Amino acid sequence: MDFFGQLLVNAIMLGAIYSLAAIAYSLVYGVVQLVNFAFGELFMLGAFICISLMLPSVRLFGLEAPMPALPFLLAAPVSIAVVAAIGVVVERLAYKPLRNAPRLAPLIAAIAVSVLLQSLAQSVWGAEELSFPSFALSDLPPIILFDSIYVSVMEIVVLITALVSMLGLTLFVRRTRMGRAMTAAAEDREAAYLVGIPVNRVIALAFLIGSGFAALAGVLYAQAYGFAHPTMGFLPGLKALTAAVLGGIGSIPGAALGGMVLAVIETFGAGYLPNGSAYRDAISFAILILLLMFRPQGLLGRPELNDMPAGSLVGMLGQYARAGGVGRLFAPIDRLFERMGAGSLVLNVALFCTALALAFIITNDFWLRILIFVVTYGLLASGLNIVVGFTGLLDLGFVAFWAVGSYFTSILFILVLKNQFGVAPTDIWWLFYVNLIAGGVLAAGAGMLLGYPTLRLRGDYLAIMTLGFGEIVRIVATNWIDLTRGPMGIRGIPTPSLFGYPLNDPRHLYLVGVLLAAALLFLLSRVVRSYVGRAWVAIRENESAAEAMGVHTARYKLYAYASGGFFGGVVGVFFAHSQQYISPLSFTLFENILILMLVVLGGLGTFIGPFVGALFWIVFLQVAQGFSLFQAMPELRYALLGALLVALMVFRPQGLSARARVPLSIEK
Amino acid sequence: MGVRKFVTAMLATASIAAGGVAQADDTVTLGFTAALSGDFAAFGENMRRGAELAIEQLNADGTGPTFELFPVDDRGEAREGVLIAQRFCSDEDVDVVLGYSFSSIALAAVPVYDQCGLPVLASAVTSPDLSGASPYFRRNILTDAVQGAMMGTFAVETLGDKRIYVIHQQDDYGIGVANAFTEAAEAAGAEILGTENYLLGAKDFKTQISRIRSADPDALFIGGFYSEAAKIASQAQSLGVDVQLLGTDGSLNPELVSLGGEAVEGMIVYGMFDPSVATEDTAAFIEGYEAAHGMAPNAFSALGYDAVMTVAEAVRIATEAGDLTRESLNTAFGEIDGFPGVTGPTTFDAQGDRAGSLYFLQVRDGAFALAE
Amino acid sequence: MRPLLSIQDLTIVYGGLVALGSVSFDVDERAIHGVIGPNGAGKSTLVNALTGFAPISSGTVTLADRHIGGIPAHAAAAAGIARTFQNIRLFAGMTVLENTLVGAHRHFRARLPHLLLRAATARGEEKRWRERAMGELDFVGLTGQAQASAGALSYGHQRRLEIARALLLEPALLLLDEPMAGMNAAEKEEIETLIRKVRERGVTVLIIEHDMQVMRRLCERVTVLHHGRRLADGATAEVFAETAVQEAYLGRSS
Repeated sequence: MDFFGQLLVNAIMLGAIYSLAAIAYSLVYGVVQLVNFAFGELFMLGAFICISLMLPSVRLFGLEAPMPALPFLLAAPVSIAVVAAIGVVVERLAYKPLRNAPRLAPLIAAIAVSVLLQSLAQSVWGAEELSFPSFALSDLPPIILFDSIYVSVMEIVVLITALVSMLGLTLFVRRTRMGRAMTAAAEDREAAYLVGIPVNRVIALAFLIGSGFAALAGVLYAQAYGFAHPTMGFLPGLKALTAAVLGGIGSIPGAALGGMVLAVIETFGAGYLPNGSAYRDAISFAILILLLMFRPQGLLGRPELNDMPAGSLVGMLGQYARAGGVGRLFAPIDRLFERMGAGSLVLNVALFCTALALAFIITNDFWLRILIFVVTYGLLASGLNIVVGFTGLLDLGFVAFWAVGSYFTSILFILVLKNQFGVAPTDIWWLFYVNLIAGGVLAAGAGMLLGYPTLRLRGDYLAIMTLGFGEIVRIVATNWIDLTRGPMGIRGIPTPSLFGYPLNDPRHLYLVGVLLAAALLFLLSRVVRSYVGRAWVAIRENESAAEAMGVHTARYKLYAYASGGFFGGVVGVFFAHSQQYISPLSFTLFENILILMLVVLGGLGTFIGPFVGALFWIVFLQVAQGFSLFQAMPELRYALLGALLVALMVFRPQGLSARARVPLSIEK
Repeated sequence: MGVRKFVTAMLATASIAAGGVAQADDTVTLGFTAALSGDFAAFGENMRRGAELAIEQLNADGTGPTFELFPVDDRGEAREGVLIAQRFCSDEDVDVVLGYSFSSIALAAVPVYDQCGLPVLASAVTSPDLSGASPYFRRNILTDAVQGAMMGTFAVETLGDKRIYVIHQQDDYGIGVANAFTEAAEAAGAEILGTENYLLGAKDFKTQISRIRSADPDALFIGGFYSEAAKIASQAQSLGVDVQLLGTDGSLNPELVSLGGEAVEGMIVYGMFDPSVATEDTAAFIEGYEAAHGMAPNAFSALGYDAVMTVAEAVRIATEAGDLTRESLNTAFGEIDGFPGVTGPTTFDAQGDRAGSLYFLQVRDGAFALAE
Repeated sequence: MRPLLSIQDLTIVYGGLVALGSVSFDVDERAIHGVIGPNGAGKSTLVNALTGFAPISSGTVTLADRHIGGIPAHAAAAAGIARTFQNIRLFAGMTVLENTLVGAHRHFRARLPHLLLRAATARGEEKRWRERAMGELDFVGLTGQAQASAGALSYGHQRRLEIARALLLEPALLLLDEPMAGMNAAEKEEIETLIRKVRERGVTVLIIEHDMQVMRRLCERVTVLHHGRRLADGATAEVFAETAVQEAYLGRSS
């Protein structure tokens, strides 16, 4: 009884925080149909600003800065107001210019803003935790119910605050003119515009209130767990989003209910299922996936109404490229890539030869190692590009396929053949080549399996569901120790070799990588430049028109997932053998976001783009270490990436090598 | 940031990688890598401070070659681990590599070192998987298996805890120490009431703590790092759990106290160094460290210090025998026998591991002191 | 002449609202058949229902004696129904030629190995349909624009491209949803001529259009919808003469 009772108290407390943050997602989604991934970061900023204001001094950018040492009850509202203002600024700079763009653009911008804010916070406050100072209310002794259930005074404060603010919001929406305008805009933005509702102001207001709620949740969360940290908003952000979807996105009572239900399921699942606490986050993601499959409208909501086309950023070329200065800026790059994209054989062969020649021109192993990463990430980005770039499906679970390939070959080589049957990895060198295909096929199968439930979803929901899959795969890889050795990882994976001749130095590995890339791109180009590629791009450009032209869109989406999965699987096998060690650390959501950013940076829906993105970014990461600025604040590099991506979305969504457009048919 | 600056930086990076500026022959460069930013930066920073002190003292002494530290932050990312290892390998000036805060990153880097024949002497990675991972890899810290077992025996036989609950972080480190602890404690006659785990970076432990409270243990063993241990301690306190807290060297950090406050008061952890009592061997170190960094050293600073001193000894052995190369240095490490240091004598076995003893330390009035 | 398309008691209910109520009519083979009615009469719903974009509540639809009611959109296309959209839906990021080729999607037979090896079958059919696509572009008057980006075409040309794309499906029935919306008289005349040429090729055309003069000239038969019900159906001249039709629809505009 005391266990059950204590869990219930814990769950209600957590639920109150989830609900508050869920309202942020719900409110903004209701008005602009955008999942603002950055709310997790606004949540975090709320916590940091509040703590900073409560301290006499705090280290900012590594320097001690004096602070007002405000009492909690003053610091909290001030931080909420500041974050609300930041939310409005973010909307104005990053989302407003994209309001009529295909929905892929604001979604990517939201992810980029999230990376930007998180990295920026890490640069400002440092990467260590900042503890929450204690104050009069938090120091009161806990209330003990039934002799065994502990409730702290602050927990009661949290609950009351949550209730009051939700009630206040409901009254605001129902009773005030602006509130009703918000509801109207949520119903139909265009109609609202026509009847004279100031839509821009309503949207800004939604961001203002939403960001305020996220900050409030962040402050309460930080107080409850006693700290602030730059990455603290990530998981609660996803949970709040889950709660919002669970309750029915767009509905305020739904968000409140969803937060509570999620917290209860999660807490009791962790408490009562065997090894439940290890799978705690997986439970939430599983709920999310089941929900999206069977009841996407949630408990109290309506089905998703956003039927904006999936996301042809390539089609935006016309809209923005001619917008003066930016167009001119890219003109020389465009001319170069235009020639490349035209698929001229000479140019492609020259490119391939240059890549090969690099192995002999560069004598330095360190730079060769960097190039191996460029090829690996370029290939991963190419695989994701099939799904996101060609077919227009935003996939945030792509790393799962990479993990499948890596784990498949590592488990087979080490845990099964070596440990169970005593086969020396060097005796079965040929298996590496077999596994490249087998790992690819296995991951392709996984792609279809995970792709199937997502077929009915579009845009934001698709992104959320794939994200859930990716995280579940990672959590399972971490916790199913008997299969994967969990976080210990698998070591001793042999490097590729040829007839007993080991290809283990960076030069050989790089050459293997280049050959692999050439082979995969060659195969991909044959598929893309056929009716299959046309069907993919048609789905991206306009799904209903594609369907009307006889494209079985569900089937072709599965083909895209399978092809992308195949790439991920093959690269996974190569990665495992070139690293000789794998652990779940390599397959995080952040890696997935990074790979996505490489695709977007380089250019969605081109062959060369993913490699351009990978080359640009991975070389920059290393070169930047030569600057004292980045040495002091390494996170600033990622902040720069986030800012670059937002700018790219606004000014040039098609990426650097946009003009390397892939012809979708053979012969001229 | 002009184009010129960018090009300069690019060239600088290239030259670091390509062998750098020519240095005098008698300079020994010690590559150093660890997580120097992020949640777990404290281990790396402590090691670095210890290493810097040792280098300062060696260079001031002036009898041997000049030593130089070349630190690179791995940010706790496996990908960086491989690149950094290659950077050191490709930089001909680097003679030996120290540091490492995560076993998984060291494991990813080992194949690279193995290939280029660069010796590594790590100080904060304890995974048994690293034993015998490469003839070039050594460490001066005891493995999880050894440390956890010593703690298990100590908890039962010295502290008299009979009903113990175990919670550990779900990774090589946490699982390793928890298993070793459990085995030793059970062998000594204690009852392990249950085992909980959590992922590195977890914030909410209330579910696990509620269950632990229902089991009513005498003691709670936390196999994990200081940031989570501090949260477990304070959440346990707020849920009315009043038990003897036991930790590992992962919690042996001043950060534990600054994050956990009074909740960690009385917690017992272990480490290879006792900062509270200055003996003949350690007085100079403690004094020098406090003078240089304005804080008391802990086990990781002591291990970082000892690692540099051990390198100096290996350099001495290698130069006596002939030229100083990576290969001769690696051979010299194998010949070191009972070299005295602030964490006790150092000898490496064939697996690259070291034997040694542990100190049990207790948080008392916000500082670590020898447990009684 | 036997009917190509036969609609019997077609009913579509959206959340309690009757969009189409028990509508029946036939479309003769090789006919140009018009559907008229005021806004909200259910014309677009009808097109959507025939092409798998709107769920059918009850009733039957047969195309050349084959039941096609309620089949998904891609299957409707495979059964030989092509359509254009009221609000143009091109693949803006593709070239004009590639857009047209998507219309030929259902004719491709090459399997993955053929594609990967670029076998003769794959090359052959690609070449064949490419030529056919060029032919259709000539047919609709987009000669020389094959490599242009579809998004960059003028409005009128976009309409023509949509028709070319639909024709490459080799449909038995072509549904045109307001193909002349927003055009001037001269442009409308060109489209009208194009539609006649399409019919001459043996394709049956079902057209929705608001311009009554055009409809009167173009269609042999018309069906009038009003509030989701069939108000009239028959030869064009007779239907336009009916008083009910004039009151309900034509009367309003005069």
